[in-house]
Amino acid sequence: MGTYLLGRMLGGLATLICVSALAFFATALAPGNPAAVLLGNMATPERVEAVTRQMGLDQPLPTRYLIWLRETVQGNLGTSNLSFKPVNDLLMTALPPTLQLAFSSLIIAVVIALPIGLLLAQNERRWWSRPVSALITVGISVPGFWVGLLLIITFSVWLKLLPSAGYVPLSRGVWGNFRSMILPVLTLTIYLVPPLVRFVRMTALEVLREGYVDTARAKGVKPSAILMRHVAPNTMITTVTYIGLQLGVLISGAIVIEVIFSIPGLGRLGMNAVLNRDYPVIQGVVLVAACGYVLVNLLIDLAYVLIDPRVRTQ
Amino acid sequence: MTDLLLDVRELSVSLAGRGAGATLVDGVSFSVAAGEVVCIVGESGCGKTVTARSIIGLNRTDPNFELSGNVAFRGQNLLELDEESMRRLRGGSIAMIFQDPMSSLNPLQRIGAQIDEALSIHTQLDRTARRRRTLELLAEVGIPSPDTRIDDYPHQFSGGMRQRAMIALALAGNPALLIADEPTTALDVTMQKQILLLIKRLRAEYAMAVIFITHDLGVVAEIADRVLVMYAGRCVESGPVRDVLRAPQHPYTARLLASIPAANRVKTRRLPTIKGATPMLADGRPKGCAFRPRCDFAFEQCSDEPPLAPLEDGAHLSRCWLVPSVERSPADLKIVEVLQ
Repeated sequence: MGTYLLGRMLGGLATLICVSALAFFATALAPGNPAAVLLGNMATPERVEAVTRQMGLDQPLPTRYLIWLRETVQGNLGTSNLSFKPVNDLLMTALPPTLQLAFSSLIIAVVIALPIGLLLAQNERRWWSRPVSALITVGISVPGFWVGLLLIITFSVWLKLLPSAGYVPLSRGVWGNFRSMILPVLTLTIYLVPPLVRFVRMTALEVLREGYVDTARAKGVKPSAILMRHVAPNTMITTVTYIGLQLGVLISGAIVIEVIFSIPGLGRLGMNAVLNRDYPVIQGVVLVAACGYVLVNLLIDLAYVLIDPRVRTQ
Repeated sequence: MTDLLLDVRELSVSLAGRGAGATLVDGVSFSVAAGEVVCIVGESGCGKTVTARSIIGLNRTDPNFELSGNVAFRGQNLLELDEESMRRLRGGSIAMIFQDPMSSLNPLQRIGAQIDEALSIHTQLDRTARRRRTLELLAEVGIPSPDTRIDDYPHQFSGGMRQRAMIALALAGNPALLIADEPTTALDVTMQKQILLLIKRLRAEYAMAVIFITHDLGVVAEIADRVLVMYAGRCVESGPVRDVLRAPQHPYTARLLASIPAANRVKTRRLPTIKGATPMLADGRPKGCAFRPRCDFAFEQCSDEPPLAPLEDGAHLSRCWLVPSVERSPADLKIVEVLQ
């Protein structure tokens, strides 16, 4: 078990190193000179050259990467080319709304999708199972932004119940924060639930065919207890993996939703940075997203240890 | 017969919904007395397992299956029993063990907890008493040092030990009838023998009847009181084990006997096999005797289905027009002697 977790951590570290290289080179090799962007309509060849030298952009690429890596490891992500604020500060203010949006949506989605998927699998032959499964498939094909816009029209424009945009930080009141997050979280949840339901249903159907489910039935276990004690835990093993893989979907979904609801989160920060070729900010956002990905997957490996005794004793 | 425990009359199981019409089990009748061991024999796909699962009611709620006939357990028709009462019978008076011990235990639960679950359903024991009983059961099925093994997970057990644990689990409800669906098939030969002897011993200790499903006639000779030979969903021969093995009346039984590999068999260059394969019942039942295409003795009359007819003594039944004088090769007869 110790070696298992150590292996996973080393794997995560390797992932981070690869991502850091990708984040650096993808931005550094993109066409367009940030110095020119920075100068805007004040750009003259001499000025551009001066700023290029000042920003260290005239150095060879590998050198630039190593310098960047050294600074990054020390926690210095540079300053924004646009606002001249430290990237660290930008990330720190953008992180809380994104974390709140992503994790509350993910938790709510899992809590909703698990029972629905399990019940759909167990009652596969009931008349209502097929229409509900069909509805889920329709749900998978609906784009997240469309749901978001519909919710805004319904709850903000027509009913005038909830704000259509903006983010109220927790520090400025729990109630305001809650109100401002209802629609975004709802949108992201609706986006996440259908594929998760489909996955849980499919996995549970496989588990229901396993020998130990027959054994449980032959023991005289109640159907509800079979579902809770035998089917659900075994379904969780693969579902946990799936949730880890869906993290990319979660992040991209969060970006779209932050833009729709103008939440000053990581997604919006990253998008504005891309549009303005603000390299240090782009790199920072990519790194933070990658760290989140690696961290959550480490947590998932830890969850395996808790769920599956076969991992624990090997 | 003394003390009739289970009486199956005209049990038929057919597929409903998609692929409808295929009859997997077709009018099977047999009975099991208390404490008796009845073996159901036949190749794969002959309806042995479907028959067993229908008795304990594992397929009764599955709309893919349509069951008809009468399965009387202690005089009560199980096919008409409501699911809740049936659930109380399962694992209690009727228990079942399965073919593959690798998949029949929940990999995420400790062995002890899985036996405990059965005890908590079928007994009034409190937690500590259940644990004591679980340890007893594990010791009884021959798990060494049960007190250190009770909290192991299935993957820490070998195949043979898992099957022992499955048997302990089945014994938890003090069953009057144990259904064993090829419990030794997935095990290696030495383990097969041990499990077989274990079931034999426990059957005497618990005075339980056993329905033992197998395709191995060697196992039948070892354990059975009576035999039921199934082919293509029908019973083709049944009777006391000595009669059926000594004087098989149906050519199918005779060929099954001839194809047992045995060290002291009559030397033939190749192990005799039964030519062809079992009919695909999903395509509909073949007309006449289902074994006809594979039978060495087939003649015109076989295009009509023969009835399951008794021999002189009445206990031995066979579904063949040639009864009672199936000609058998000397090799087949020799095997029969070896088995006895």
